[in-house]
Amino acid sequence: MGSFDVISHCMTSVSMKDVSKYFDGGNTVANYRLNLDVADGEFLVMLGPSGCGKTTALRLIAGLEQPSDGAIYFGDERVNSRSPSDRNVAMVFQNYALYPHLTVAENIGYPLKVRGIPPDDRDRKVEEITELLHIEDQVDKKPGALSGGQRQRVALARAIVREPSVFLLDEPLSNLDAKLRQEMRIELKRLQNELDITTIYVTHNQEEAMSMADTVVVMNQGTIQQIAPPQELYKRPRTAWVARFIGSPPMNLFQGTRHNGSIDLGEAGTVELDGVMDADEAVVETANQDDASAASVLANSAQGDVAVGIRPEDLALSATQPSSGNVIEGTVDTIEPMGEYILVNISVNDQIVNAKVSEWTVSTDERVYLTFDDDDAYLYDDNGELVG
Amino acid sequence: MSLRDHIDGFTGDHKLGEDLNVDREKAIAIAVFLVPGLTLFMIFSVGPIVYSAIGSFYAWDTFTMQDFVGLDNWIRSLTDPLIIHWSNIREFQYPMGALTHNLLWVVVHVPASTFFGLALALLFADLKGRRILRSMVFAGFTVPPIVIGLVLMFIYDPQAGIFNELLRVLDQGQWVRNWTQSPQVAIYALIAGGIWVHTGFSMLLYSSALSAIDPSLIESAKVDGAGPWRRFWDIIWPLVKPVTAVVVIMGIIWVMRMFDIVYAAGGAAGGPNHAYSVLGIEVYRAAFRPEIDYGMAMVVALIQLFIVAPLALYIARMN
Repeated sequence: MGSFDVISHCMTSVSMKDVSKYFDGGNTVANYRLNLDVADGEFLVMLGPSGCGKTTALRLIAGLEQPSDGAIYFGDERVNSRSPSDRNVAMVFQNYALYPHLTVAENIGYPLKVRGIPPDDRDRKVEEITELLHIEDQVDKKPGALSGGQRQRVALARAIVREPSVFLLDEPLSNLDAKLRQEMRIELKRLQNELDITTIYVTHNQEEAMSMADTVVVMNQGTIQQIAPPQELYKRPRTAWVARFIGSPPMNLFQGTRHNGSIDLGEAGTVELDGVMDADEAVVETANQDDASAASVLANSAQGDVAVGIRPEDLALSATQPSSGNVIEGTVDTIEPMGEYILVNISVNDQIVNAKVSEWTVSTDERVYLTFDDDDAYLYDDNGELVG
Repeated sequence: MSLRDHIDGFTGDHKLGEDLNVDREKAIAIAVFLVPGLTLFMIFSVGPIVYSAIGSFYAWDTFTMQDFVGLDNWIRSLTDPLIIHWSNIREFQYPMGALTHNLLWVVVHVPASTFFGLALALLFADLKGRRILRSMVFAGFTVPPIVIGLVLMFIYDPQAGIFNELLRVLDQGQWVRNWTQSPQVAIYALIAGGIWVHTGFSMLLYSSALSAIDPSLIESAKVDGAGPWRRFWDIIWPLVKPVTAVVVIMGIIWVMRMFDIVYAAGGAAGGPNHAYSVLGIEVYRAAFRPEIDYGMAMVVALIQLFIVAPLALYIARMN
C-alpha cells in the first residue's frame, strides 16, 4: 500500500474521567468509574466477556450514549454533551450497518455527502479509499450482494473516508470466519499504522486484542481490571480474574492457605513462599498499598487465603517425584494432543489443571508431579490482587 | 434386436409409465385439495362477477333478466348525474356524482391518512408507553365502520356534538352548523372521520416497518453526521417506502369500497340530495330500493371492481 494522502491527520487523545453509566434509573450499572487515557494515534483494545460493559464504554466515547457521571475529553475539550458528528468520530458496527438501499459507493460517500462535500471531491475520495481497501470492483453493488469480508471492508472504508479524529470499532471481525478474521486482523493493524488514527477497538476475542493492540483494557462487570500492553498483560496479570481470562488455556490458579512462609495447597502439597516472593521484583502494586514491598504485605498477615497462579506452559510434568523445588501432585484426567503441543489436563484437589508439554510422557489416570520455577509463579491475595 | 434389448426397452417403458403414474397421482391429490377452496371462490367471487358482467348487458324487470340490450346499461349509468355530475363538477358544487366523490376520498383521505400514520409511527417509535398509544390510535380501525359513522353523527351533531362545542369554546361560533347535512362541506366532515379511523391502520404498518429497521443503521447515520431530517430522508424513508405502497393501495381500496360511514350519515340517498353519495351507495340503491335498476347496479359494481382489482393484484404480487 502506498501513502494515502486523503487522510490529513488531526489526531486526538481521548480520556475518560470517573465515567459511569447506569440504565433503568440506576438499576443496571453498565460502567462504573472508568478511568482511561488513549494517546494520539494509539491502538487501544477493550477486551472482556460479553456483558462486561465494553460496548457501552465505546458508545459513550462515540456519543451514542451520555455518561451518567464523570467526563469524557477529546484532547483538552470536554465532549459530554456533543453529538457523535461533532466529536468527529467514525464507528464500525458489529453488523457493519451498511445502508441496504445504497450502493457501495453511495454508502462510503454518505458521510461526505452529509458534510456537503462536492460530488467531484466525494467521488475522488471514494475511489481512493476503495482502491486502498481493494473493493474498487464492488462500488456499484448493493451491500446485499457482497460477502461478509467485502461488507467489512465497505464499513471500514465508510468509517475512514472522512478522516475521523477517533476511529471506533465494535467487534468488527466477529461475523467473519476464522481465516478471513486473521487476514482482516493483519490488514486492520496495517491500516491503523498507516493512517495513524487514534483507534478504540472492542472485542471479546483475546487473540485479536493481543495481536493488534498497543494497549489492552481488560474489563469485567462494568469496571476496568487492568490497562497494559499485551505482553505485560500476559506477564503480569494484576488480578486473579485477569489471570484466569488471559491465555489459552488460561492460568491455573491453586487456592491455598498461607502458613508463615509456606502455602498449603491441601492434598496437592505445600509450596515454599520464599522462592515465590523473591522472584521477580520485590516491589508490587496492590489496590490499597502502592509500591508496598511484597514482604511487608505478607508480613502484615502471616496467615490467610491466597491463590497461586502458574501458566500451563510453565508447568513441567514428571511421573516420578522430584527431590526438590515446587511440587504439586495430581492425577492425569485427559490428554489433548494439539499438534504444536500436548495439553494435559490434571486433576488436583478436584480442580482441573492444564499443562502444556511438548512430549507425551504420561498416560491417563497416572499419578503425576507438576513442577514449576519460582519465577513463573504468581501470588494473589484473598481480594484477587497480585502480590508476588 | 436381442431379447436383452426387448427387456430393457420394456422395463424402460415401464419406468416411464411409473413416472406418469406418480405425476398423475400428484395431480389428482392437488386437485382434491383445491376443491373446497376453489368451490367457495367460484360461488362467492367468480360466479357473481361473471353473472354481473353478463347481466350488465341485459334489461331487467326487477330481478328477472330480460332482453339483451348491449351497452345500454353502461351508457345510461355513466351518463347518470348520480354517478358523474359534469355540470356540478365544473362549478365545484355538490353533489358531483358518486364516482367523483369516491375519487375525492382517494385524493384527500389516502394521502392524509398515510401522512398521519407515518407521522404518528415516527412520533411513537422512541416514546415510553408507545404500545398503549399505538393501541389507542389503532382502536378506531377495529370498530365496525357503521359504528364509526354513528359516532361521527354524534361528533358533528349541531347541539350535542363535541365538534361544534369545541368551535364554541374556541369562540368560533360562526362555524357551528349541522356538518353532516350541509351539502358543500359534509363530505369533508366524513372524510376527516375516515382519516382518523384509517390513520390507525397506516400507523400500525409503518410502526412495524420502522421497528424492522436495524437501529445501528440510524446510529451509523448519526455518527456519519446526519441530522434528524437527513436521517429521515436518506435512511428511514427509503426503507419504509415499500410499506408506503401497501398503505396507499390499501387506503385506495378502503375508500373505493366506502359504504357504511356514508350510509350511517346520509342514509341510502347518500346525504341531502346525494351530496356525498359514493359508488357503494349507488349500487345498493339501484339494486334494493325502488325503482329497482338491477342493470345499473351491476354496471356500477363492475366499475368499482375495475378500479380496485388491479390494485389488489398489484399488492398480491408485491414481494
